[in-house]
Amino acid sequence: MTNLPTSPATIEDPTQAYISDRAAAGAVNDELIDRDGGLHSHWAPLAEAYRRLGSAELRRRQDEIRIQVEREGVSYNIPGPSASPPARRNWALDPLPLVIPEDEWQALERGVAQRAELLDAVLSDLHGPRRLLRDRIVPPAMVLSDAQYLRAADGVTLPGPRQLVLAATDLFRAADGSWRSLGHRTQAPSGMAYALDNRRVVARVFPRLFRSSEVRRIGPFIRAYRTAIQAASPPGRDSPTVVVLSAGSQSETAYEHGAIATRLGYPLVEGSDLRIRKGRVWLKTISEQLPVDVILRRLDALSCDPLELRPESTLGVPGLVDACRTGAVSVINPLGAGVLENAALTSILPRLARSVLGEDLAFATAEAWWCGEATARSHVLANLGRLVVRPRSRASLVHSIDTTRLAGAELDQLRRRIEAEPTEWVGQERIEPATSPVLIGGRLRPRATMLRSFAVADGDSYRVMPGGLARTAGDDPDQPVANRLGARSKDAWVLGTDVDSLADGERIRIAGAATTIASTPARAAENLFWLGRYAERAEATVRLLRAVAQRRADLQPGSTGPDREAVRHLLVAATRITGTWPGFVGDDAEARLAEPGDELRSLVIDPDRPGTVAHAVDRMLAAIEAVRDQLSVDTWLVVGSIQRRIERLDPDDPERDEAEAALLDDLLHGLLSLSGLATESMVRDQGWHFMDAGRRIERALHVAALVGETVGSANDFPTEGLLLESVAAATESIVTYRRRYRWQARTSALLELLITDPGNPRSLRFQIDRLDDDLAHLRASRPTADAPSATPLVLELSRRLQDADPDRLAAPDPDQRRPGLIDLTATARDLLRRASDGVEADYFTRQLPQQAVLAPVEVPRSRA
Amino acid sequence: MIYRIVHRTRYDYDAPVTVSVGEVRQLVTDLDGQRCIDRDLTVRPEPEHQRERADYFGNRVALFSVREPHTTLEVVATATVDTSARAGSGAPVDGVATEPWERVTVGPGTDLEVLEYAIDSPLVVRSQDLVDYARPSFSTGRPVGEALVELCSRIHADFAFDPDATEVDTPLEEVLVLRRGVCQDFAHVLIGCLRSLGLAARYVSGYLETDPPPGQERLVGADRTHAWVGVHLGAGGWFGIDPTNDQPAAARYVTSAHGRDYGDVPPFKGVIFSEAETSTLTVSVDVAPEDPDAEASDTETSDSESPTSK
Repeated sequence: MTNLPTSPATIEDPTQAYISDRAAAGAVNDELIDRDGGLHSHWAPLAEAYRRLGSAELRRRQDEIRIQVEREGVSYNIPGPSASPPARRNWALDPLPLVIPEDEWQALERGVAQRAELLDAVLSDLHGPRRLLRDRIVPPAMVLSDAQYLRAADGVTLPGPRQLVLAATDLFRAADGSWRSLGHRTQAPSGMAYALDNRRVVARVFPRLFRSSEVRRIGPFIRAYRTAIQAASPPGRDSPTVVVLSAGSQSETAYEHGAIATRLGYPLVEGSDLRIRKGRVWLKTISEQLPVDVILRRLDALSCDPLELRPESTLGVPGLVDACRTGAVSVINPLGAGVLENAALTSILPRLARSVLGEDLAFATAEAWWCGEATARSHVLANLGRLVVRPRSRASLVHSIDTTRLAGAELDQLRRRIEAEPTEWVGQERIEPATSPVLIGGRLRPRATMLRSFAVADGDSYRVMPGGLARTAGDDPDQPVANRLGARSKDAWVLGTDVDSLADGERIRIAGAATTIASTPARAAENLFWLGRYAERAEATVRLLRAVAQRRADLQPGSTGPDREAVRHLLVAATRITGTWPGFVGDDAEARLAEPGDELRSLVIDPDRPGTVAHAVDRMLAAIEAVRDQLSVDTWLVVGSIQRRIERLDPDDPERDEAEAALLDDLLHGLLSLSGLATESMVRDQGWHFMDAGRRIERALHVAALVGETVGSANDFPTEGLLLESVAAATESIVTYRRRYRWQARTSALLELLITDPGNPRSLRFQIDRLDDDLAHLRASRPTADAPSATPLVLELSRRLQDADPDRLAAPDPDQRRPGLIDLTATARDLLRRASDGVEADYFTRQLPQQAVLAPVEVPRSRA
Repeated sequence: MIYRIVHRTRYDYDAPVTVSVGEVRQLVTDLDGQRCIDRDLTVRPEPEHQRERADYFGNRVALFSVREPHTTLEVVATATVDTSARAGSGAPVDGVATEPWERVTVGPGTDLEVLEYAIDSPLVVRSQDLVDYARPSFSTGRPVGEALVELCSRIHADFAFDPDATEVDTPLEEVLVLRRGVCQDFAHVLIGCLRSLGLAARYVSGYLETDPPPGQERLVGADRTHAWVGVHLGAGGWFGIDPTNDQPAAARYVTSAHGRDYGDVPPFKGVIFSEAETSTLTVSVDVAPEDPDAEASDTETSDSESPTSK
């Protein structure tokens, strides 16, 4: 909706303000402003639309975008120092698009396709006849000593005319207004899913503007991508099974791995989900081993096979290179494609184009010089202080170095490094990409802008995504455009109309032919199971802590009566139930019982302490991230809210008790929404039953622990009454409890409600019935006829519950202990833990640790 | 000479291994002027999949995958090979080897297959230290054969053979300082020196005749896998030389594989899935002349309790 502000006083024309701001800077190279300081003609309709919206409304839309991005969980990870986990950041999307007029795009599109053709030809040659090296068109040392030149991938080819299935080219508009390329991504190019997200969100937040602008669609390109992936399948596989191989949830673009898998409709897997048998690759699902035909890899080639490539990698599949070599599986992009990212090779693309394609490049590449050549090296060394210096290989841990920012001693140090290993370094002209207006701090500000374009093999030629992923510098205008430096993104609008050819229809038909995998990958099943367990654990712990807080709030100041006794009981029980020793039980327990605030707070917010709310939520979120492709889109609405709430904890908040209570309420709200989604929006497939089984086991464990730890011993009447109320509150059964047993607090009544009542969704009995049902569903999909090992344990517990009599359970012995109750809850906990282990053993078959073995060249004689 | 080679590699693990995948470069083939008459590779337990291929460097490689639980893995490679054609190649001073060494360095016209061995590889990086070490033997215009033989002798004299001094991954610059190591290190030092001077040199792994001819001492590297160096002498082709024993790698040497450095051609590498904390590796190599009267020797060597890499 474009609600136009009516009061002229609130209207400020955002783009006009931008043009005025920029006028002071003189001539500018800008996407919105032309040479004469006026508005580019293709920007006129948008500028008009933003004028009518006004600055205030534009800012509101920016907030709307932020909310949508958060809700959908669009994010990326910034690698932490060494072993620490990465920091998750929300995707930053600017409300204004990058706009490219139709005629300009046509030229750009041809140039991007031409580059893909060139790169493909170079790749085929370097891993085939190597004519470019023999004829010294490419200096051999430039390539032969690059770690990404994989000799193991020599001669490995994909079926079909093109080896490079997906190529990304990073573009910028140079000072003369022309587009140039900075480099390429050919290994496992990222960004496509983000481009799709940008489009979806911007089109939703600016529906009228988007509709009226005639923007070319991205959808047909994604279908072409699917077609290309399936066309690369080994010959004779009619409906190929395709998987997306992720580098795991810690990788920088983990979000995108799941998002692209979902969008393409292929399962997301990790290396440990795959194994090689009889020379073929198999996906382990919970019911069968499924032969895999195509692997869309999202990890670096060197990590793909610990046998032939990097031995320490645990992300890959041992033997994968050979499976590619024999043509049993197609890996996309091919394992050898990383060599094209060699920055030295990029520097000689113009002459390669003339030699390989017999034509000049349609647009230039940023000028660069490989230090492995003497004259180029002299040039780079003479111009240190003016150039950007980058390592030849992207595998290097060093980023680009802007030498204009280095002081004398640093320059000398860099000079020595280059002189010591010249082949490893490339000098490159410092680029100054055109700016575009970015809404920062409520005002449009100029930021350097890059465009990552995507080309996908389309038969013998390449098809280019209309637009691509536009990115700009972030808050600091002087930083290069990089995610780790807070870059922002823009939707890229190519103006014009789509031509839907007949070929597209054909493509859709082919694209539909991939095998749909009915069975859940084993790792996904495992994550869903633990998602169920952690979600339930988080909810139960929140409820328990709320009940404790409630009881403390009712405490009379200075009281030594039953109310204080009940609080004390609950605190001790809380430690035992959550397993957070020493807490209110072990050493120094008395001090903590006297001042329980800090310990209770820790039970909420300490993510590094197993048993706390934050720990369970963290684990739950990690499980969710790992099965992104299995969950409904709405899940992210809920997950986003939970995550934000956890991340915004301020440990030093002065209003701590109130903040804590509010936090628990909000988390409970989020967790309930999540379980609501599980009930109402998830298909009852295998995955759901795993999740439900996890939930049931956890809830049953919790109820057994709660009842056993609170009323396992009888208390004086008033204390017992207060405890019963708290237990009922912690199990969401207080209303029923009060309604049914309004007039008297009776332990046996609560035990009936929480243990034997088959109709109370919080009772132990109810969980066991559901668990039995879940296991029965899963048993049907098992490859063997054996009953799952969890089943007899569950049946045993079910039998015990049927025999249980609440009155007998509640009866204390002379020592005021309730032996029947203690025995039943202890037995239940033991059986449930074993049942959980049984589910894991039956379905998830954990792989033993991977180890590399290397025979030394010479074995020393025994020194006996 | 015709040799019968038996190379056994055995891993004993302290816990079951569920999957063992391996790559074996012990298959003798027609390399370096030798002729392979027959060969065989047996893996126990029986692999569910095993195949052979040629690698980038022209070596025969076997790949196998064992997928039944086991605590012992045994790989036995056997071959019969004829090295007679190399019998005369003992003297590097013949023919082109008398050319000044500068004439056989690599240049713009060098074949790619040779050039590959003249540039840096992961374990052998050219350096000024290597040039400085080699230079005294490579004076201007000196015949390459003479210079090579002298450098080889100097390495043999300056470096101590010491199995405890280095590991598989000890960097070359460290070996150069330590002045000790095993045949792999000796070979890397020589290769590094030659490459730093602009010559092409490659790493050769293989075997050395077990029993010395009467009256001669048993050589270092017999009963084991051994490593030496191939040097490219321009039109003279590749010439084998062994810095560990300070002699040309002639008819008593059997090549199993060659590459840029050890990393390209380990005799065995693998990946296992196991909770094993230690593995015991036992390797035995027997290289016997094909002569019915000769007594077979099969000496066991053992590296006990070496922790497997994690």
